[in-house]
Amino acid sequence: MSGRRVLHFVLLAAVLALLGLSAFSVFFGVRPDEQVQYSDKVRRVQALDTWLNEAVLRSRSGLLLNYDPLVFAVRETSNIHRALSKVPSFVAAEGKQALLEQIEASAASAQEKAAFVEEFKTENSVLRTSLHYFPMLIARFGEGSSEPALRPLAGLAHALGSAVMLFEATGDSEARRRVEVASRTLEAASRGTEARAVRSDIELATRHASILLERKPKVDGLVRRILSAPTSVRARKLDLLYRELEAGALSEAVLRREWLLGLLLGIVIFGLMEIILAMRRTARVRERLAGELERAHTSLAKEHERERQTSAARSRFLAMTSHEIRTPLTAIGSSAELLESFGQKWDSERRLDHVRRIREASRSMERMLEDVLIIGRADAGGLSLAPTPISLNTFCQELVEALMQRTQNTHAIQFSFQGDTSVSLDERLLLHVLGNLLNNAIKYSASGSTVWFSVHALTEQCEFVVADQGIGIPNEHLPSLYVSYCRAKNAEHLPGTGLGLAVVKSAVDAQGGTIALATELGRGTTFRVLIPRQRAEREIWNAS
Amino acid sequence: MELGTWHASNRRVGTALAVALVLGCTAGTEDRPTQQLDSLQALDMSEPLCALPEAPRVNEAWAALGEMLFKERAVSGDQKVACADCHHDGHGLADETPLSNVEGRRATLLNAPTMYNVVYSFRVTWGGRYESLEAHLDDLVKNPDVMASTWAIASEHLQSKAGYIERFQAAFPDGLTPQNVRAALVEYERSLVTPNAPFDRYLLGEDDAISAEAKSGYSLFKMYGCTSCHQGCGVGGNMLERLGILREYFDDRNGGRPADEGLYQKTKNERDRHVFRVPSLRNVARTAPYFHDGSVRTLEGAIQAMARFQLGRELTLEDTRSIAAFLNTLTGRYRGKPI
Repeated sequence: MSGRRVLHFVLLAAVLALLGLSAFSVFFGVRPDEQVQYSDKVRRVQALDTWLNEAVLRSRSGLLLNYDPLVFAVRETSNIHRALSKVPSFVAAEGKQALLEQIEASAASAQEKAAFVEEFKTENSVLRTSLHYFPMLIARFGEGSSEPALRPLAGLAHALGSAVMLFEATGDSEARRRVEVASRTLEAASRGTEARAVRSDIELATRHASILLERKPKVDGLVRRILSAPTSVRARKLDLLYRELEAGALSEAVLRREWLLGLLLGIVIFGLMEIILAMRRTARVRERLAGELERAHTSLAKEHERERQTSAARSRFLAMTSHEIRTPLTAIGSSAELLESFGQKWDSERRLDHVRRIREASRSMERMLEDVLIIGRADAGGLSLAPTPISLNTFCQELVEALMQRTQNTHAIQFSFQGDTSVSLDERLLLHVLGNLLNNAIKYSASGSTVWFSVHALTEQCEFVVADQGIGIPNEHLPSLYVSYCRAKNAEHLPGTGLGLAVVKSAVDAQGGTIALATELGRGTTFRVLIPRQRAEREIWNAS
Repeated sequence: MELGTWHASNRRVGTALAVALVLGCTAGTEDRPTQQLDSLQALDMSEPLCALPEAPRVNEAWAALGEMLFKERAVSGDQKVACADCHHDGHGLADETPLSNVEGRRATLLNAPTMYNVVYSFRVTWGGRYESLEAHLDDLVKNPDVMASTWAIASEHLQSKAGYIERFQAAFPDGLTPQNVRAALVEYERSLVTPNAPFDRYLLGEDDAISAEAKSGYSLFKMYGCTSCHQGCGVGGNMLERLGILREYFDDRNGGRPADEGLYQKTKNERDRHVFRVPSLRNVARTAPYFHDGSVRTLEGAIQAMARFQLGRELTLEDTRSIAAFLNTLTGRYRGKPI
């Protein structure tokens, strides 16, 4: 995977993680309002419990004369437990189970306590009614009473009243005994009286006294059970568990926040990296395109130059042919005309001279055509090498002799040969090379000057050096020296096709050789050609 | 870590989130608002009785629909009985006959009690069987001797009655549904409160709101120990007590009827035999006859019976009259109108 794809992958993963975390936080994260409301409810369970205890104690002591606060506390506790079972979303499933169990336990103990409270209310009302009775009893039997039937019983009624008050205050067995004794004494004394109303009053007093004896321990027992109910412990446990879960959820939320910020930072950094890399990539691409454009420009220019050269060559060819073909053709034409008109009259010597002229002109045309063909073949890559065993010395000597004969000894040709004369070379190509070089040497040097032609057959290659004392080649012409139909300025007045050196170059190349020259304007030119010997052919030669 | 720090960091988390993603937060659930402990604690509890608070806020559209349903016979299974057939509008929403006799139903076993201030009763029905209005209504609708229906049947009947569909659609987003029939009835029950009784005005400082006789009646009411049970804002209705403490109420009567068993009917706990919800005495002067069996026709008779069975004493006629005068001052006003 490329660096760029890795970067994209990391970026995508980071964005997905960011979205995932955020979604999680939104749906399962801690919502402040929810958290505050819930924890408030959890704490309210304890507050209500304490408050219920207080209300029960106040009811028992007579400081609170109605049960509305108790009813409210019990109902509110039950409502809150119901509301608590809707656990906030930030509490995880595991914690939720534990929390629900604690809520269940707290609700159960609260319900148990509520049942005791209910019983307390019922019993306490009866107890309070009975306690209410005794001040009225004492008042009725008091000193101010006008009923004679009551007077003997007044002391006993007082005794019962004080015993009851003592019992209510202490609740111990001695006080209980006193109430029982006072009650029995009063009842016994009342039997002696005739007044029915008095008997009924005494009966009521003893009845209340017995209710008091029975209910006070019962009510006090209920109060103790209410106060010792495990509700506060359960509520505290619930509170602790919830605080634990809350703290856990909050620390998770903090951790998530850190992750979020980390991811956000990562995304920003990776994003910046991506932008920088993209800019770099763009710059590289621009550079490459600029290079390509330049190369295209160059190749286009080259193409253009080649086109220009081809076009120039074509016009040179046309110029050359129009001139170089017409000259021999004119010569042939005029000689043939003269022979036709005066052939009978002329002596044989003169006739022969014209025949020779025709032959020379046709040979010149033939050579020219051959040169054109060779150049054509070389351009088409069809210049094949066909080496044959030759005697190099003989070959070169014959060449020199033929040349001297043709030029009628206008120039002195100094020929030298060194080395092994038996070589294997392409005779025809060699002829093109040496013929053209020697022709040029003669053509571009003054009559009477010397042309040096030295051949050196070495082991690996043959060296041919042709030197003249001619006009030399101008420096500016050197680059296009071997281009066909191209002629140097100082040679333009001399007849020529501009093919010679092009043919030489093609023939040397075809044989795998090299050509080099040294020239000085007005002093002369020296060409040096090296042609490798054909080893296999040489061996065959040696063997035969 | 301290709670405050947690809250602060939590807020920061929220802010970071909001900034990071510009995602909105959903509001937390709004719990039913409850009376604050603090305000209740501040109340003066040195008097056994307290003034009835002003009527609680109710959904008026629901309550109005509930009132219609209260009088609507189509709520019952056979479309012959309405709540109002036993809870008479002209009689403090109670029945003036001891036991209710409605055509097509067996005679009831209990006197139909007043519906006023039912919301202040900590339990519903004479025996204190139900802890909520909803639970009571659910059973009442199903009871074959009462409505012999279900909420679904009631809702179905109402569909074919003119006007209900439109009224429900106006009051509830989801229109006429069994749940909404129940909700409307409950809302009506919640609206049935009667504040501003002369006695309440007296408690709140209006000294001449009640007569001197009523004032002395109130003193006797406290002195004889009536307020041991009939206390609180409802003058009763906040506790359970046995009927017949100093004398057996059921001794000389046929106490074997299931309806006489009180809470025992529900709990089967011997301790709860003949234990009833202490009824609220508000509007008591308008809701004769008295007691669960409707056996006492007059207020004076009821006062004397209570003194006899619960307090073990025979009240003089004078005391009885004074107490009756006091009880007469407990008649309140429903929606500002006298009952």
